[in-house]
Amino acid sequence: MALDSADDRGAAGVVVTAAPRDLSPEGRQPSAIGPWRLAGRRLRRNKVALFFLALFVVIVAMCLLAPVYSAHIAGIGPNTNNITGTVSVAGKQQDVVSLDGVPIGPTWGAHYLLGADTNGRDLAVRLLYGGRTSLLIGAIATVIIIVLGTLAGLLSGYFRGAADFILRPLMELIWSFPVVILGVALGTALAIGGIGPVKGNSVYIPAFIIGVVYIPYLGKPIRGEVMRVRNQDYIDAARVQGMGHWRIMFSEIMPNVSSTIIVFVPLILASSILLESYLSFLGAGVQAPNASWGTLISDGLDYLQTTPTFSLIPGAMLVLTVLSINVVGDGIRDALDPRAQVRVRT
Amino acid sequence: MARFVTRRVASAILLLFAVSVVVFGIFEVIPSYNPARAIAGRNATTTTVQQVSEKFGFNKPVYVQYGNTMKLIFTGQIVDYSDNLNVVQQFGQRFPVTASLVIPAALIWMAGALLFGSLSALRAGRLMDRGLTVAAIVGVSIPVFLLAAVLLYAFAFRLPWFPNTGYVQLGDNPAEWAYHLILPWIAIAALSVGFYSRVLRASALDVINQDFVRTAKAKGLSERQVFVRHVLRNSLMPIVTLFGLDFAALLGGAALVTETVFNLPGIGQYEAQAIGNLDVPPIMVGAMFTAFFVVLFSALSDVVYALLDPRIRLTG
Amino acid sequence: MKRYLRPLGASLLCGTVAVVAACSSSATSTGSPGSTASSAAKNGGTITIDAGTAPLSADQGLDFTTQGTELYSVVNTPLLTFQRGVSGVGGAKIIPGLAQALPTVTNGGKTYTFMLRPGLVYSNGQAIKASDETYALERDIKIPWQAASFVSAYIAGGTAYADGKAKTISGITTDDATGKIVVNLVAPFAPIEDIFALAGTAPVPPSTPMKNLANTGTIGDGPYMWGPITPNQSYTLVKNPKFDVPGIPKGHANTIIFQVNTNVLANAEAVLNNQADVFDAGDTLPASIISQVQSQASDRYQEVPTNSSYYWFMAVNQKPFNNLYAREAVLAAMDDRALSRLDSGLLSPDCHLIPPGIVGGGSSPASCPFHPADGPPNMTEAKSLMQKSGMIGQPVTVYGEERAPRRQWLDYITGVLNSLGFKATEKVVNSSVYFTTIGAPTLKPQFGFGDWVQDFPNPWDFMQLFAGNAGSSLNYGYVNDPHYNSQINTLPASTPESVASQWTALDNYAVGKAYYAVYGHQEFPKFYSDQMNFQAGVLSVEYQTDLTSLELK
Repeated sequence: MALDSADDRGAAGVVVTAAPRDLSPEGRQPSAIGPWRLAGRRLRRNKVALFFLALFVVIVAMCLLAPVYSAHIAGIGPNTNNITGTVSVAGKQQDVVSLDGVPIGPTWGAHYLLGADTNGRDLAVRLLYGGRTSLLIGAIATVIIIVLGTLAGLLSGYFRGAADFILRPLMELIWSFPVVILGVALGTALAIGGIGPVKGNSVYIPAFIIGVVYIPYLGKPIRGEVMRVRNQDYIDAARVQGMGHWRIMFSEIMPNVSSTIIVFVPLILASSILLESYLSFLGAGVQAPNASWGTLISDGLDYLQTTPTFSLIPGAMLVLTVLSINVVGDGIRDALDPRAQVRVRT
Repeated sequence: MARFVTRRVASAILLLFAVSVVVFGIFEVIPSYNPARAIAGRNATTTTVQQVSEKFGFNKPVYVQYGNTMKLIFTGQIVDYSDNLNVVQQFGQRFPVTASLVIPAALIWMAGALLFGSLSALRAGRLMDRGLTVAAIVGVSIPVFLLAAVLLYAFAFRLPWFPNTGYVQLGDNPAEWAYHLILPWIAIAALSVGFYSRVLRASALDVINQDFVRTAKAKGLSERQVFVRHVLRNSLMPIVTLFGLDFAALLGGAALVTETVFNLPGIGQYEAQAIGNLDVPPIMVGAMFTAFFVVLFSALSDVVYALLDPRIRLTG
Repeated sequence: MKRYLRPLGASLLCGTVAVVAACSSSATSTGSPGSTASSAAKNGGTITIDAGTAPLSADQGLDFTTQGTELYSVVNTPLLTFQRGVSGVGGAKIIPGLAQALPTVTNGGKTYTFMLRPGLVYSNGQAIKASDETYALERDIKIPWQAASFVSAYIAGGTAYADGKAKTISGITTDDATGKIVVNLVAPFAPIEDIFALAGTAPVPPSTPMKNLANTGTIGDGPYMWGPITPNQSYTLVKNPKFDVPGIPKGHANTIIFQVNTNVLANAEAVLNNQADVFDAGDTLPASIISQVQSQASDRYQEVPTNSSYYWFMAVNQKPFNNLYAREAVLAAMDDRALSRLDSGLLSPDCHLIPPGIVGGGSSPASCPFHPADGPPNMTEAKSLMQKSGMIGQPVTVYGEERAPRRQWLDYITGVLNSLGFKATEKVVNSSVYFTTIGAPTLKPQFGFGDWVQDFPNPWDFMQLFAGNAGSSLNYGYVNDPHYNSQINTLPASTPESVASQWTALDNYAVGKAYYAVYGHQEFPKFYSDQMNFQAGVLSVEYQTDLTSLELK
């Protein structure tokens, strides 16, 4: 359930695997266009990846339009309780929540399109708002991981010495905790007290936790890559020329590891979104009354026998989103370097 | 070799201590954390709370408490705060359950990965390959709690083919033991088999194109012989490393979601409950337990690496 | 993460209108105490109980939970006991257990004298001596029992022993030769008889270690004794052939297995499909399965009222609820019917703290201020009260548990507070640490969930929750009203029946001051498999599922 990487020995700790050799005309000719343009071309030819990219964009757009849906179609907010209310279904007024506490199933109408939960809240609205939350947490976590992971990898791989002495064991330490257990422990602890000015039920808490937990999964491979690149002759040449360390790092080394980073971005995003759902399912992620796909699935599982849509619809949304990101990620990988591929698993 | 072992052992010990400090620290910073209150119970008067506090040493400074807890852990006397049970004993009782869940599941997924990965590599680009690719990506996109819940619903409730959660000891009734574990095994294996077979496929394809394989084929070996004897052997390395880490994490309780959904009284379930109860001793022991396995398996996979590829020297 | 604290009390209440229906179809006969419900009772067999929550421990010297009481109350019989197998508004009648008769009370209510029945033996054959009772009470203080304050606060010498200043509890003197046990109290306290009917005070052999025996339970003299125990997973009871105490039923099944599975829905399905025999009454039957149960198993499912109350506490010593109008606005705006729906309909709405089944309770829900408890809320009144209070816009942190339906109740009440104009945010706390978290003196919660299931059927047990005496961490709202405090101190000196109207008046006084926002009393599910004799089983509020009443067909 985590980004996996082999130990960072030798070739960058990236699981180096290969696709079939590209024997197409483009592959055989020496190309006159730059590697990025080439990659872009290859990506554009990958119909499956493009399809899933479009799907992902559609899902994100839907979730971003949640306030519009809530205000104009459903007429109710995501956290508004409506336990004793009624809704008109096929002309008849029905209880949103029965006297026994059973919520209404999908009405396929404007109100309560996908049904209600036990508190009478509109599940379709919560699905979209929950998507916003899940995607937002995933995005923030990804940014944290990319920035801090790259920095950690660069510093410890380039400077070695003191930086490596601190950063490497730190990354090993985080990495040796099972992802879910560390996440749940931190989530439970921080949900109660929050950190500093950030309150316990803020959406930044799960994002921060996921960010921290996954840093080594980027940091270690980057470190390995950086170490490999650093040993090249042209780095020595640059030093001899009088280039400062930071300039070397950002102008010589970074471009070489950038393709690794780009390949990691979709994978980290997918893993973050998935981890958030695990944390929310276990109660250590997004806190009540806010919705995320994980909390919706968790709440809906009680009704799996009677109204499976309560949990299966958010489940499907989650799986489709993560799936799309993974397929696009695969496509980017194939496009950037058909020979070297990186696998990341959740 | 000796140097390898010493260095690994030394780093393992350091890691275990670091892990225990981290866990201890995580819970100490919670503002409302007060284990004395939790143990004394809801009705306790302040005197009872104080009594409990003194008995367990909660009124001492943090580092003293940490030292006491570690001492209790290593003498095997540590009890958990929510139920007053000996943690080490609980781990001992629950470990066979987790092992029963994880080991067969791992065998299943590795066997599956070897099979499907090989087939995929041999028939690269064709339908089976594409199909497996799709299955693999879907597999890593489903959260295990959803898969487990759906499996339970479909095969234990709708079609009552399998029992509805629970665990039977291997010693009591091997048939029932397996019967209760089939769905959990499927849940765990399903997530990993796709990914691992893809890794194997990619690694095998890399090897297949190399010269020595062509030489072997030119020598007249059958395709199957070439594949098994030369290609597979050289493409196992990435899988070995990944497997070591995954397996270690699972043994240490990473399967907590599966155990909770299927009500298997294993280590993961214990750790999940302990985290919810803010019960520090089981979490500390669990974290150290896992870290131990991680180090062990990481070292083991390095050894296997060296065995598979004589060019690699074990330096630690 | 699912501790259900406090045992339940008395038997079924059949006095009030609301529950006549339940009582007339309830199984147990109102015949002589201790008689089994049907004369052709079937003995033997194994009965399984599926529960979502495990007891804290099988050891009655530590545990004080509903699940635990269900189990060890049939293992460790105390000096007194609550009558089993009898329903009726007589309440849980206290009858002699291991004592020959109810204690004689002398010295202005400060001295209670018990005589142990002669010739009693524990399940292992060892003779029961009077001094074993002192040992058991000392053990309670030492471990400590979760209700140890009952012993240390009320029995003379208890505090000294708890502080380690005395080697024994000086207030208890015993004579093994005659079996006499004399208990001196710090002050007259009628509920002490209820305390001596709690399993935690039952005598134990003096060889029993003074620590929590979670893996084995303790030795006692009861209809059952402990078989194999796997803590948090399964607890087995087997019949104790040596048990013979008049007035206490011997039980029918040979073996009772209590198994724990946190997936309550799976438990309900198991009982529905007859794979398990009893659905533990302490769990909520999930709403998703109730209609199925009612249609497929209507002859083995019943909702039984209990003596428990759910409420929201409001801190009266800080903003915004130090203002009476703000508190009243909550009472006016709260819809008990909505809260009941969230509880699968198993809640009977009421604003009074004393449940209808206890002396002093039973006031009609229609008499609640601002709106009848079982009717719609009065939002207009609520809004005008808020205007008067001047507390609109005040931030409030609302505390609740994560266990269903408590979290859903929390979501609901937070919404109500927001609609009143507060800026309410909720904070979910894990169930197993919830009460100790909000009871911590440093937290000072403004508003939060509270519940109380009776320890024993005495109105003092409920009303003492809001007494302003120091040392009690149960008064989450920090209520400190002089009139209330004086009543709490004086009323327990008399039997509840003699001062019933004063207890009711005190409850109404507190409701008038909006010291608490009670919303209802829980009904428990009595749900068995079709192999069980449904009519014979008793869902007793003190013992929950009365294990001695369970019998197979």
